[in-house]
Amino acid sequence: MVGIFVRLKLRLLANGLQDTARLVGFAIGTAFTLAMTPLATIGWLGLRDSPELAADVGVVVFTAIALAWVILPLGLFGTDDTLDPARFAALPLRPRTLVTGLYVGAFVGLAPLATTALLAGSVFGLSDGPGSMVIAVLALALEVALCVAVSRALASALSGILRSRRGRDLAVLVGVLIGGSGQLVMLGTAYVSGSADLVHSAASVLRWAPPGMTAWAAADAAAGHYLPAIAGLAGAALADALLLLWWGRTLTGAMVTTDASTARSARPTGRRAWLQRVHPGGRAGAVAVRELRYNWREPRRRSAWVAAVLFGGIGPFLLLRQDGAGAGGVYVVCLTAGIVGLQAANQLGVDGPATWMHVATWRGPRDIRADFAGRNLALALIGAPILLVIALALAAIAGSAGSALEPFALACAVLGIAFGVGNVASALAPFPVPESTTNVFSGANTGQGCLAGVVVIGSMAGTGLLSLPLLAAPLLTRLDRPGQAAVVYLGGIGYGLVVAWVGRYLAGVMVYGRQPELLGLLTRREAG
Amino acid sequence: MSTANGSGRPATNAGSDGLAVRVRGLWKRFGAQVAVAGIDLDVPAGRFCGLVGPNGAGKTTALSMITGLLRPDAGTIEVIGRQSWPDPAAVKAEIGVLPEGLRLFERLSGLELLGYVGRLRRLPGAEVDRRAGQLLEVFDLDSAANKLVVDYSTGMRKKLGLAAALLHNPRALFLDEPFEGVDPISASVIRDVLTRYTRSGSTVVFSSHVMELVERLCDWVAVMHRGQIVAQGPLESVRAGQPLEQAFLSIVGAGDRGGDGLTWLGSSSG
Repeated sequence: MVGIFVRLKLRLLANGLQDTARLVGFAIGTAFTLAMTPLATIGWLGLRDSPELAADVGVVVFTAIALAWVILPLGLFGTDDTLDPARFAALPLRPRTLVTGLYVGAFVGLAPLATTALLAGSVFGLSDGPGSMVIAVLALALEVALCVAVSRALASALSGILRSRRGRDLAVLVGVLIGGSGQLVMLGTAYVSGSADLVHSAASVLRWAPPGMTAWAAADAAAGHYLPAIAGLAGAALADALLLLWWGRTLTGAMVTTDASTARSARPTGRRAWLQRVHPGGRAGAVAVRELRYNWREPRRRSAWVAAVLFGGIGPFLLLRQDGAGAGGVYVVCLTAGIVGLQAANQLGVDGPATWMHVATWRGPRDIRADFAGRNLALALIGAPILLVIALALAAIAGSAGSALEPFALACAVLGIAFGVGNVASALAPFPVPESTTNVFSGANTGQGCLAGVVVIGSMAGTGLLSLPLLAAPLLTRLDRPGQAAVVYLGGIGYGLVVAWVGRYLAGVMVYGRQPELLGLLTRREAG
Repeated sequence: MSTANGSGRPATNAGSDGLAVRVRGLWKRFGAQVAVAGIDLDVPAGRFCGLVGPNGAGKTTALSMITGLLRPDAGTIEVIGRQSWPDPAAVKAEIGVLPEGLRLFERLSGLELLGYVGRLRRLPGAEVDRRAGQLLEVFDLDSAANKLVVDYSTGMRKKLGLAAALLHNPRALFLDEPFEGVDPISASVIRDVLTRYTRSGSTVVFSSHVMELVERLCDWVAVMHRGQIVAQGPLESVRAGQPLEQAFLSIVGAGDRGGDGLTWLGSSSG
């Protein structure tokens, strides 16, 4: 039975790779693993000389990797759909057989392989002599086993929640928050304190959790304490067994509640009635209102805003503190504007397959321009107040509240430029962003990550390049002629508006010429 | 921009030859696979036309090209006397479409979605809201008007998609599998609305692989098989006195593969 699951997984992997996009994703993942493995191994070997630090680092790294596997099923990356228990629901398999098969099958894949490769160096780094090396190998095996088990068990336990729409919406947000705040915590701690002490105090706690236990066991063995080492491994193995037991139980539940996704939630009528009536005239107005609703209701877009505020908002504060710059530091808000403006980089893609509803009504490039105008307007209506708040906060920190206005004006100009660049990028290279689907196990569009990266980096570069003339603004105002500052900054905003308009114009022409092709691009994934 | 978008009926629902749809030599390939292999199709105005064929016959591809959502490799398409390609804008303004898969703006409520589509078609706001309310009522969606489309069932989505396609009072309607996954009650509502719509001289073209349905509803039939139209014309002449399903099977030459080899199947054979 186990053999069948492994062969199934291998066959699915091989078939998946016939798709170019997936192949590219797989190749990038493989290249990353191949590039990182020697570095990680060198790191582990470097720890050999200081066993105490090695133990601490081992505990922290093992725990961090296990945590990554915990977050995985939360939909941040999307786990693979090949082992969705619902697909086996109709077969007469006992949970025990199914768990064993799914568990072993789950080890086949890039992620477990990469985990093993990155941690392989620990066999040398956390050992001293052949006896302890055996323990270190066992510790590594148990760590990988724990990672796979916890991710699977959690996915299956959460699948009930994640099968409902609201649960999924929430999960997307939670994923972004965990990812974002994790980054910030890392940034913050690196910024605040020296590293060795911190690692040691973290390790002294984490060594009692199963993943840390495995690393600690290896370190124990290296120090010659074999009894506690074996006890530690036994503890981790017990945890693994308990996870599998739990998985088996939730699996039975998950299989018979496959269709819970039909559960619906009625929306109270009239609660948002005032918003129903808000309908500014014209096509652009209609699009703007729809976009505002979408930015609030669509979990991925809401998360994109959360991420933009986390990175674009809190980052500058750290930068400002580090710099110790005065009022001039408030201009960092222009960077935030660039990050917020990235939301414009894939304006067609975020509508995905629903784009046909626009395509069916386009009578010419003018309509497309109007659509982009509506989208830009909606983004500006959300983005500009955020920028204002950040500019005011930065100015307050810098000690002169009055110094917020000019940086804010320039930030608005940058936002306009980012929209112009984003409009062109949206027309050139749209990529579909999948609506969160009915099931935890179906991942994001594998392989699209590469294109998305190119678009984002290209948009940032374009925005940066076109923003260069704005550098002149603070210099020009130094001339100190009365009223000149206002003219300069209004000119800056005007420049931003012009760039946005040119971007809309180009996008209109480009999109109108290849409507069916764009529609095909945006629908492709769903058709399969 | 002459228009069927206003409140009055359009002056004409057909091209100069009395045809609502006129297709000549239409081709579409996807890589090595030929989806539509040079079809000619005529649908007279005011007909209720069923495009039937098994899954994969090319119905969806043909409808996508006719409605200006997919670029053909070769061939000409005229809808209501206007060319669909190279610039489908004029045709798109005159027709209503329900494409395959029903990808709507999921995070709008039903009412918001109709309001949005109407405004995209540049109808006056008050008129959009009036029509949207009536359509939701006719399709029995008024209780779900403020619910997000993402929470709609398949039948509700089809009805909403159809309402969106009808909103601007198009001259012709193109529907891809409008009855698939729809419960009998919703199906009968859809049937009634479409029948009323064609009675006023407008044209409906819909695809389906359910022969009984096509037989009951349509007065004009086109049969597609492996990318080609193998028969078309008035229902009576296509089915030639047999039930449509029989006629279809004999037209496409499906052999009797009712499972002669499966001798083990069934409880008596042990």
